[in-house]
Amino acid sequence: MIGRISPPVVILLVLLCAAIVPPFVFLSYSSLHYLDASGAFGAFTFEHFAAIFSSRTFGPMLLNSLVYALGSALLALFIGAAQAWLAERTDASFRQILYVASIVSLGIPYVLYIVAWLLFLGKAGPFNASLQYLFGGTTPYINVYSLGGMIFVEGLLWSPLAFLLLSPVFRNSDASFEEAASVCGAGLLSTLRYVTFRMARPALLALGFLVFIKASESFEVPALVGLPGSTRVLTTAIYQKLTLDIPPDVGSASAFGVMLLVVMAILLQIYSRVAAQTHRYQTVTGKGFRPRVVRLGRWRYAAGALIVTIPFIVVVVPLATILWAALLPYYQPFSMKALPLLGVGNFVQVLNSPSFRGAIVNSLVLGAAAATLVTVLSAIAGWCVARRVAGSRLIDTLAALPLVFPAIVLGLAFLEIFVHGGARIYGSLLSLVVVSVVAYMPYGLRYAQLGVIQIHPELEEAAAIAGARQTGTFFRVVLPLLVPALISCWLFVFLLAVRAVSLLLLLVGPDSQIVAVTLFDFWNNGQIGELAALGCVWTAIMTVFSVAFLIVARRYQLPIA
Amino acid sequence: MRTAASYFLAIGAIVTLGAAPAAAQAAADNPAMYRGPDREQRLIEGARKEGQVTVYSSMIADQALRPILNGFEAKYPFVKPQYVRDDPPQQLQKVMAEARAGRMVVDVLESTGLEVPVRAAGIDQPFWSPEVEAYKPERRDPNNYWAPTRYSYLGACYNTSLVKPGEAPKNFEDFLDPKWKGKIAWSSTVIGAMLFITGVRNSMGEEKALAYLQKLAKQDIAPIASANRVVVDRVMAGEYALCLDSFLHHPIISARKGAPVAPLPLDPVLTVVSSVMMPKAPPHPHAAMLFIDYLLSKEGQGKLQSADYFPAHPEVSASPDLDKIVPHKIGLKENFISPPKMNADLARSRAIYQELFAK
Amino acid sequence: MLHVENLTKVYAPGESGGGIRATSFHVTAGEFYTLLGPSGCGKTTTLRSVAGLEEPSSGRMTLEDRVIFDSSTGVFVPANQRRLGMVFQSYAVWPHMSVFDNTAFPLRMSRGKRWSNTEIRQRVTHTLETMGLAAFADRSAAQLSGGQQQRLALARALVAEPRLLLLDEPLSNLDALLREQMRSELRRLQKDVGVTAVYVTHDQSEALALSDRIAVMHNGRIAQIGTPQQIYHQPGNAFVATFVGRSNLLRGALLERDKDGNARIATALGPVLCRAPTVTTGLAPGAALIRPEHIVLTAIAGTGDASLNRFRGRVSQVAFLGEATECVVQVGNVEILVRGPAGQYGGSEAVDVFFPPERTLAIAVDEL
Repeated sequence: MIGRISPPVVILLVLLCAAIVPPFVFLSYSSLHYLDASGAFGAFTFEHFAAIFSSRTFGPMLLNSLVYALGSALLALFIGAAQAWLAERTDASFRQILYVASIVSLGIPYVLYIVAWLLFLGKAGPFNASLQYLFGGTTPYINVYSLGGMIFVEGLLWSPLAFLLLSPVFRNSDASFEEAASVCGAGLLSTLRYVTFRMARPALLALGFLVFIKASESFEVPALVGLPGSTRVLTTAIYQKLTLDIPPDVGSASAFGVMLLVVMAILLQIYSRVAAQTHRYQTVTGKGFRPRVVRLGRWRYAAGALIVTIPFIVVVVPLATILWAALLPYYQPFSMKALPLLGVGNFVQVLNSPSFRGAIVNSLVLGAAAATLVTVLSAIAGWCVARRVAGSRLIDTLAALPLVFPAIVLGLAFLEIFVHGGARIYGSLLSLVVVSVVAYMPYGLRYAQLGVIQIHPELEEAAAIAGARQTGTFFRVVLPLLVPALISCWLFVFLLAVRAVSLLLLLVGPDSQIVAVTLFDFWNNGQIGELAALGCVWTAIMTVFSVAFLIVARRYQLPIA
Repeated sequence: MRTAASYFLAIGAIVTLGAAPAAAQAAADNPAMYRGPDREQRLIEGARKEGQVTVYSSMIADQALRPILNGFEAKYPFVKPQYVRDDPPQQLQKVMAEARAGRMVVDVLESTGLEVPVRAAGIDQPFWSPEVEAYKPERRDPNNYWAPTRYSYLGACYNTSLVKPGEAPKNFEDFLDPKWKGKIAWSSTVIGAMLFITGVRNSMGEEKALAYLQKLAKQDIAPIASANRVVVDRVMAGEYALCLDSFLHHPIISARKGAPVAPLPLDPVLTVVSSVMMPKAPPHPHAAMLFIDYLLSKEGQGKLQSADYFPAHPEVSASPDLDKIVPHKIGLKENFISPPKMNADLARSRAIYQELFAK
Repeated sequence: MLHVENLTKVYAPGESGGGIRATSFHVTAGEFYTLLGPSGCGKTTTLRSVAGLEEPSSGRMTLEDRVIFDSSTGVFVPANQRRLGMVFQSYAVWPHMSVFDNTAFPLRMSRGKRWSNTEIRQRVTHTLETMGLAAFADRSAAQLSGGQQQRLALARALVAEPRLLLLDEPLSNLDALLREQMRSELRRLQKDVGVTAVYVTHDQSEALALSDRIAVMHNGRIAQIGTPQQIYHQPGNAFVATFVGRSNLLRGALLERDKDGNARIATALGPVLCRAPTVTTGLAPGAALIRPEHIVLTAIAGTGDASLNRFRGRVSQVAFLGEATECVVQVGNVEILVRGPAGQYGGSEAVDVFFPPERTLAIAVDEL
């Protein structure tokens, strides 16, 4: 059947090309041209690139990006792996708390989480105040608006996902390898060092690299934590080029975007090599397989204390800080004399305001629409790719291409498309849906593909022999069997879409306000109380979705991400 | 094929022929410049049909913007106002993007320092409101592209728990005292540090200004990439002792709620004017004009007064609470930066900022 | 019924599966026809080509005189229009449907005849009864045991009265006891229903027990076609001889052949007299083939005509198998496998090995 490409595949390919090619074209075009005063493209130039390379801030910026991404990856990995090992391989107390905390944290918007830490660790926050109380002095001990602060917050931000991704690795490794080590005379620590973590090393490496990539393209932490302390990375440079200058310097922003694309392409290439290694030690044999639980003995309660501490740091501290801020008319650090000021004014303001209710509705509509479209497209594309239909290689490559775009760059590219492309949808909710679908297609495709691989091809062949057409086979056999994978795909994309700030930051208009971007604007405009109140309401709604996601994923044993 | 092509040609001709007189008619009907006696009636009827108005403003939402919109909605309940609050650069970016993308959302633009770039981009249009006549001609645009909405006095402010009133700096030179090193913050935006530098250059002259700024750069001033208001919040929260470029009414408003912050006017007081503009082809032109009328009217300016902003209307004075920062009432000079001046000096001020302050 | 002519399937590098080269065979109506061979020999590829799940590179196939594939005219009837029944190795029972819905699926998809709901109900119920699954009709197919899934797969394959029933190693996933049981049931059912069946297996005992005719495949070609008896007793070449049943193969040069079809082959043991019905003269390399159960072992008598297919050796290994004994006899450098009644010999005995000439077969070895 090679050489015969079926009409659905052709349609899919055309759709994907239409979605993927313009961002590259518009971004590179605008990085190589001047804009005139009215914002129209002018003469060709290399000046945007030349200016970046000759700038003395460029070198430190690259170094910052590297240190920040590396530090965040190590921190997330360390916390995640420790939690996963404790939860999966030991009899430590309170293990279930870890899962609950991780699930809740999936629903907290990035901006809210970051703001919570800024308030908590800020120069006037309770952390510095306690240190000053304990050790004396009036100057703050730590400055959160620093590279260290960025690493700390970003690392914490990724640790729940690291935990959720690593726990199956520890759960699925066969205990006989560890028992063999024990029989050879190795103690607990040696076994951990030479066997347990050694065997998990490919998975740890792959995950660490993933967080490294995610941190390299992250925007929220660099913008909120880095910029006030003048710690710039590549993603925030793009944002500043667009928002600090009059008129906005779109050319330089695009040039930064193009450079980030190159960096991401290289990183992803390396990642695919690293990830391919994770199957090397795959040990699930199906025969006599059972994970062993390490008896911690008297360390059990110490480990239990640790288990309680991690979620306390990852979830409780930020949420408590946010709740405190939400109840205050204007923000001030925790103190007894602030207690009389507490009230629900911010909540009243948020819940009564049509524009905030509108933002909540828009976010839900956007998430649902993007998730539905991605799920439908990936069900078809995932099947084509998993069954190696003619043309599927191209589908796979095209649908994965958006991964090269950091969210802020994809947002910028689509801004240019909407501004110069003549689609007349700039600022509308529809435009946000389009961008989200393109951005999250790779994740949806991965889910659907995994789902299809679990379906034996003979189930489809049996339908063909029974006289069913290809469409009949797809709808009567493939689709019903794919349902669990698709539900979890839907929820995953939904959670991603409503959390995103940087992707849509440059694209929202007054009639398409969404919660995540509104929170970001609140912070920039100093409306901390309303930010916290809206954030609390939103976190409550999102927790429902993230719990649903985890239930589905666990029930059908699907990967979390 | 042939018949289809000629059919479309014919349709095209009809549309084009019909469009020319229609365009002339539309220009006469354009509510932006309409001066007929039935103007108010027309605006109200048109706005009733449009039902909505979208305002982009750089006023702080919970302090001033929302009270004005609420007042407008109370007067014209059939028009639902919505707003977007942004700093001027983002406002400009959005309005230019909308114009170029062919999907205008904004009806009214209220901002500081955008008069010249918006005109250069050719995305605004002249408008006339009977309320404009009350304003001094030298403080509004002769070509009717913008009209003043509010004045702002900029200066320093300090955290009253961290700095005792007697120890606070009193003039520009006092900020060079090494004891403030690392304790001063400013907004790194166009209306923040750039405007501060423009102001210093305007009052001291280029040479002395540069010498002063070089010394100031040694104080490690923390740049906050947000609105000036946010810097005041940081000072209130105790993160920094001093803010160099606050809108002087912000600390007064917060201090009234009990926040530990106080304004510090510096002589001469940096003074700017903000103005209202009307984009080309707004989606709700009648409602837009109605809102501009309201914003420039005594009633709308009164909302600014009660919000502790400085109304631009000559007959609406600022609230007496603000007397301690109004330059002529405390014996200080005004350092007025007009919109064209602000725009003309921006590039040089940015270069100075990059050279001296950007790390 | 089914005619396959010069069927060739070439796989692109990187694709899995055994290709087939210029394969031809025909299956007559009502026949149980088996494709037998080791994995990678092309038997599954052939079956899937007949099913329409693979498109061959060249050749021609007709089913009931209708062309279903012809590379020269570009005819390729897709699988869903061939009206076949097929049982897959994994059974491919749809886990999200009930037993009833699984069985009814081919009727609901039928292109020729439109089945009414009552007809479908009757037909499915009848088929499920035949398969002993009537009690499970409303149950989810995922809840069935392996044997029941097997029956369900068969019920689904037969319910629409297919022109041809294709079976792809259907018994390989069952445990030994169930496999024997299903084997006889399958044979009975095929005869009762009267359907023509093409069966793929790598298990020679299944093939011998079930088939009317067997095509032994090797390296993408058919090595021999024949009834089970022909395949076993008159293997056409060394591959068939060694793949079907156990055998001793003594290689050597063909010395002479008389007009009665008897030949003498010079082996490592010395000249061996055999029957040579198929071997033509002039084939220099050949082999004498004798099945272990046909060898006669006697205690050394010291008399008799030692020259005629009788060799002296020593028993080196004995394995007691219950119903029989197998032993390895060392004759010179050659090990001969002998199967005889239980408890006949102990170890290390000197014995005489006799190959009865009428049971010893001369075959060509060029294909090895």
